[in-house]
Amino acid sequence: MTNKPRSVPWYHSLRFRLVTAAITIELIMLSVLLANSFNLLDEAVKSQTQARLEALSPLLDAALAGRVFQRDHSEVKAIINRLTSSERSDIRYIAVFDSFGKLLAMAGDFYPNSQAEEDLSVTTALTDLTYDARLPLTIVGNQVGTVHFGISLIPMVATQKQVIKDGMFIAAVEILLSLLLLVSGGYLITRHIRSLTEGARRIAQGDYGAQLHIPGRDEISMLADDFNTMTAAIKTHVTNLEASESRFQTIYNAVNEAILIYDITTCNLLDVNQRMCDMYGYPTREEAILSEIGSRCAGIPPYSREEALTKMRAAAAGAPQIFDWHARTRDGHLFWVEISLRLARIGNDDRLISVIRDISERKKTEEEKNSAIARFQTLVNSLDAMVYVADMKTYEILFINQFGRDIFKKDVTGQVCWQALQTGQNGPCPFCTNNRLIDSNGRPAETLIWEFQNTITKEWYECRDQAIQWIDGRLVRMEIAINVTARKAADEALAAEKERLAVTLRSIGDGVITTDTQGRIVLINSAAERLTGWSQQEAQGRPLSDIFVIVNEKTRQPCENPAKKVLASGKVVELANHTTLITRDGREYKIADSGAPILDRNGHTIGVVLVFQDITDKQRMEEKMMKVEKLESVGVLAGGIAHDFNNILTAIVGNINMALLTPGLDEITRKRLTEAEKASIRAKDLTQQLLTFSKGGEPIRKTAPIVDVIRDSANFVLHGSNVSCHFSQPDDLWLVDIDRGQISQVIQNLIINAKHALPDGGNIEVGCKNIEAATPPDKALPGPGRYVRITISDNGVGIPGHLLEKIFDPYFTTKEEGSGLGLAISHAIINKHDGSISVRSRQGEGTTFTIYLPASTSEQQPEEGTKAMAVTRRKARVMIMDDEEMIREITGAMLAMLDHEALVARDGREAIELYQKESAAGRPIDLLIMDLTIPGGMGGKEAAQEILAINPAAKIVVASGYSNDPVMAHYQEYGLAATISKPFQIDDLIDVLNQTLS
Amino acid sequence: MNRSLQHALRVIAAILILFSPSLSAAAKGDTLVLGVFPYLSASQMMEQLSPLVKRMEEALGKKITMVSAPDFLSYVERTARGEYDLVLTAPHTGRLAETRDGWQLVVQSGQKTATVLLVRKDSGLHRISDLRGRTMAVGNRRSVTYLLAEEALIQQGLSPGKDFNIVETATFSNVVQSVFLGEVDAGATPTLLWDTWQYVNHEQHDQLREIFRAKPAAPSFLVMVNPEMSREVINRLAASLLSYHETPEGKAFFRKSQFESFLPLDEATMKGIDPYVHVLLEPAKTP
Repeated sequence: MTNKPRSVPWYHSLRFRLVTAAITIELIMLSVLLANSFNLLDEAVKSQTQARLEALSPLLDAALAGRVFQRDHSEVKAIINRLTSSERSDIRYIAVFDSFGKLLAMAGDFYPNSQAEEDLSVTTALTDLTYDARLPLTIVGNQVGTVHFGISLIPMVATQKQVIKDGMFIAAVEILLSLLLLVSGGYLITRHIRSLTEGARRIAQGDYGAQLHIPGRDEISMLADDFNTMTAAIKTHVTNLEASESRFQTIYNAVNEAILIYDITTCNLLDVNQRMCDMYGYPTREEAILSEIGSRCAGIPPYSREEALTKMRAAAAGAPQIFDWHARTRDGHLFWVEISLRLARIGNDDRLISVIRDISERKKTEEEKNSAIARFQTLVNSLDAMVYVADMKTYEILFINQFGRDIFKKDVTGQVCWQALQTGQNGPCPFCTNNRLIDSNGRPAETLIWEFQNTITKEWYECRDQAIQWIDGRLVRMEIAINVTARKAADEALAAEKERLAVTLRSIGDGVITTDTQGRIVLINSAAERLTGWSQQEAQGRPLSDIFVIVNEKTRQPCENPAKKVLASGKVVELANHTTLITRDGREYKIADSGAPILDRNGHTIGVVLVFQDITDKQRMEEKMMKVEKLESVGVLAGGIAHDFNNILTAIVGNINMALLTPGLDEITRKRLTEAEKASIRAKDLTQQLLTFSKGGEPIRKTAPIVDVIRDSANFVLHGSNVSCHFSQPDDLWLVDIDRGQISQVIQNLIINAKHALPDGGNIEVGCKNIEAATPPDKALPGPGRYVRITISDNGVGIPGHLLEKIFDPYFTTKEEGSGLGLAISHAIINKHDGSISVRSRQGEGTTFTIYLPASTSEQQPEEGTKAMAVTRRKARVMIMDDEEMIREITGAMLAMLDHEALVARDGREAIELYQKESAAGRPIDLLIMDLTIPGGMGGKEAAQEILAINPAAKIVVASGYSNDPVMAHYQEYGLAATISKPFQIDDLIDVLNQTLS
Repeated sequence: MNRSLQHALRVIAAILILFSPSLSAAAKGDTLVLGVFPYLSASQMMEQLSPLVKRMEEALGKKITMVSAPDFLSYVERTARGEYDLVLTAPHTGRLAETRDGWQLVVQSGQKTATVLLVRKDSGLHRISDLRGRTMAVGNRRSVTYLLAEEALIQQGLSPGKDFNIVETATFSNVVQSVFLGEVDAGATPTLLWDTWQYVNHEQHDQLREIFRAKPAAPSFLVMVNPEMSREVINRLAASLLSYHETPEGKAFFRKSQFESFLPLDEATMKGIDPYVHVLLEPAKTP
């Protein structure tokens, strides 16, 4: 190919373009420069005008405001004249107005009748070349007038015009000079370019030996040198390219892969290498190129012509395709290939390059391998156990079977085992078995079998962990995990059942011991542990006879081994009575027990169970109850005896009284009778004690000094013993309202206790003191007030702390011979006296009982003594009702002696009838003395109620041997006039008569 | 004052009023003109009296423009010409306007006019007699302030123009400035001005010293209206000004201006001013 010499038109020449471009740029720049100058001049005029305004305004305001306010017209005029008349002044006029708009003064070119409008910008001011301004005149913010003034713009506009004129001239000169310079310069620059053009044309014609010679050291000369260098380089490259083309063709045809080149638009084959012809069986490349694409496909979907075209179009779109393909040779033989389709640019054209490799052998191997894998997977995935393999260093899961994937609902292959198979782990699981699967030499150890509850599924698994060598040679952990949750639950249920049974056994209050058929301990519950002193651990496996030591309570002989007895008989057996269990530390318990064989489901004896209980307390309680019953019987008996005894004593005392009142008795007889009377009185006290002992009862209070009661009681108890008593009390100790008999009983009980606490003798301190308390000194007391405090202290053995709370309980005693009622009765008596009793004791140091009794409101005790001479003088009719004839007789005799008329009745019914009869006959009965208790008949209480119903004013006195009967204590509540206790003396009778008839 | 001269002045004033209606502020519609006699600089006057002007506007229901005059005489002339509708005037100018031009009285200031003689503390002057041969500044020779000072100087045997020189400074504020700057040896200025000067210029107040304080002679200011104003308007204005001290604004005004209060005007008070009126009728003296 040859290029003809070409000439460039002048208007396409570089020289012309250069000049044109330079002139254009020059013109643009000058235009911008001039425009900018105009703009700057305009801005300058505006800013100068504004500056002038801003400078002038305060001056005018300051100069004129005050003058205007003062209406100093001459001064105002003088000021504005000076401002406008100056030669250099640019102020064309000034006019001053007051606040009403009245013109005060003017100077310069101001015409009141044709005032110019105020200019708000310089633009509007340019029409008349005067900037018309308005300025308010103010003083302290108040407007006092206005000034109008005009600033001349002529000097500034003239300056602006001159600058424009000068600028235009300079621009024109500059353009001319530039044009001249560019034309000459362009010629010098472009004169060698033609030589360069010629050289380039020669190279284009393949003449790589062309050389340019342009003298000089400018850019063109250097370009010519570079051109020569480039020509040499091109020559070298062309030579190399030709060699490369040769090598490519060799390789293209020698490679083992078939290479096919397609047109991307038509998908027609453009070129193939020799290998393609060999692979597909084409004799020549031309025949191969002409082959249709469908003829090279197997034709079996998806290996069809359409699919092949689809993949080619995808590759043509820029997505490289690599895929396996079932191909067909020219003679119809099918074979497997791997095809790589890729877009490539060859020269200026986009081509599709297909590289095809024959993979028939590989395909065959893969099919065999896939078949093996399928068999393996079928096997492993059929297991009812999770099988997985994890890297022992990275913990990556390398394999997990279907069972495992089903458990975790996903395929966790590739994930870290402690993240995928567990939850809540921040790193490798603390229970990971990796370390246990490798021995000390780093080789796989034996299979580890363990159970574990998965942290995600919460299911239990029996795991078989083993280190194995993986396909790539590394050691990995293989775990086969079988779900044993159901079995585990069953085991736990069984364990729980066992635990429940054990707890039940331990919780039973009775002792339980089980043995095997050899009589050795299998189980011993808590109660049995406590009773025998042996623990389960100690006792287990030992012979029963070591643990369960039992003897006969009375003979102390060992009892027969109950386990042997049961095993021998095969039946339930019970221990004999009076069996005592001796504990490991020698304590003894009275027990009752039974033994039974333990049978398995087949009825065979597999052991013995013994059940026994401590009956010591039960037995003791039974003994106590017997004692109480006995005491109650004695009490009833004592009460009965006391009643009868009092009746008898009434007759004895009464007769002795009567005898002593017989005139003319000699001294010896009187002495004997007096002694007999004293003995009778003591007998009366004895019966009183019997009654109190039997039932307690309501106190019959009388005002008395407590000291006498205490002293008499203490002395009575301590008489003849080696214990002494020391009393201390103030002289003015208050009196108390007490039932002497009951309080005496309390003191005696406390002194007896103190004496028992001093077995080797000693001293008892008894103190009395007046206490006037604003608050109750004892919480058991009813309230503040005056109390007499009695303290009884010994320095004996004391009472253990844990018993202190019980000592006032009925039947509580630590003494073998004690009834357990003494302190209980004492407590009841003090309570009935509205007092309190408490105890304070320290073991080994002694005991102090403290009693508070309310002080009496009376300051004197009632006088006592013979009152025989004070008998009422009035003769009265007195009915005596008593079932005992001797009492009726002696009482009647006493009344007769006292000059009263006595009527008698044997029971309540007779008394009522007699009362009605006498009343109806007009012989009223003044007083009735009725026995309270009539065996088998109406007693005094009931009879009194009926008589009082007949005559509410009837005066009735009840007499009783039960002086502590509630009716005796509270007779007023029953409408009775008085009481008299049997046995009574004539003085007692006189008291009652005086009390009721006077 | 010569009776015939007074009569002539009244006639001239009446003619001026009749033939110069355009000068009256009343002719300017709803705006009234308050003429304040020139006792302070324009800015001080505007600052102090603006609240009072507002009170007057409220009382009269009209806009009021406050103006002053370059000096006493021109103020008196403009008052006579009826350029003002109301005046806040000095006692003797007010008395003249009343007797000569028929202006009507409204109220007087509670503050009485008095004069202090000031010197620099470093001047070595301590008593009036020390002013012999010295120069004294006054705002205006026709002011009551000057007359009171002159009276005191004469009593001490010093004759004006002979034993001491007088310099007029146009306003009383300038009197204080002149003394402070050493342009004069002493200055006579109203107590009204001097007693508040420490708030105006503390430095000047500290540098100056009183050597004499005259007894109060007459009310410092009178508020008057021109003869055309109706009695109803006068009463309304008087009532408003007499109760001005009851308002917070009034209290602030009286405290700042030292007017103390406004009081009713009576003839006895006006007669007490007569001795000072003559200076307004005399030809100007050469200082």
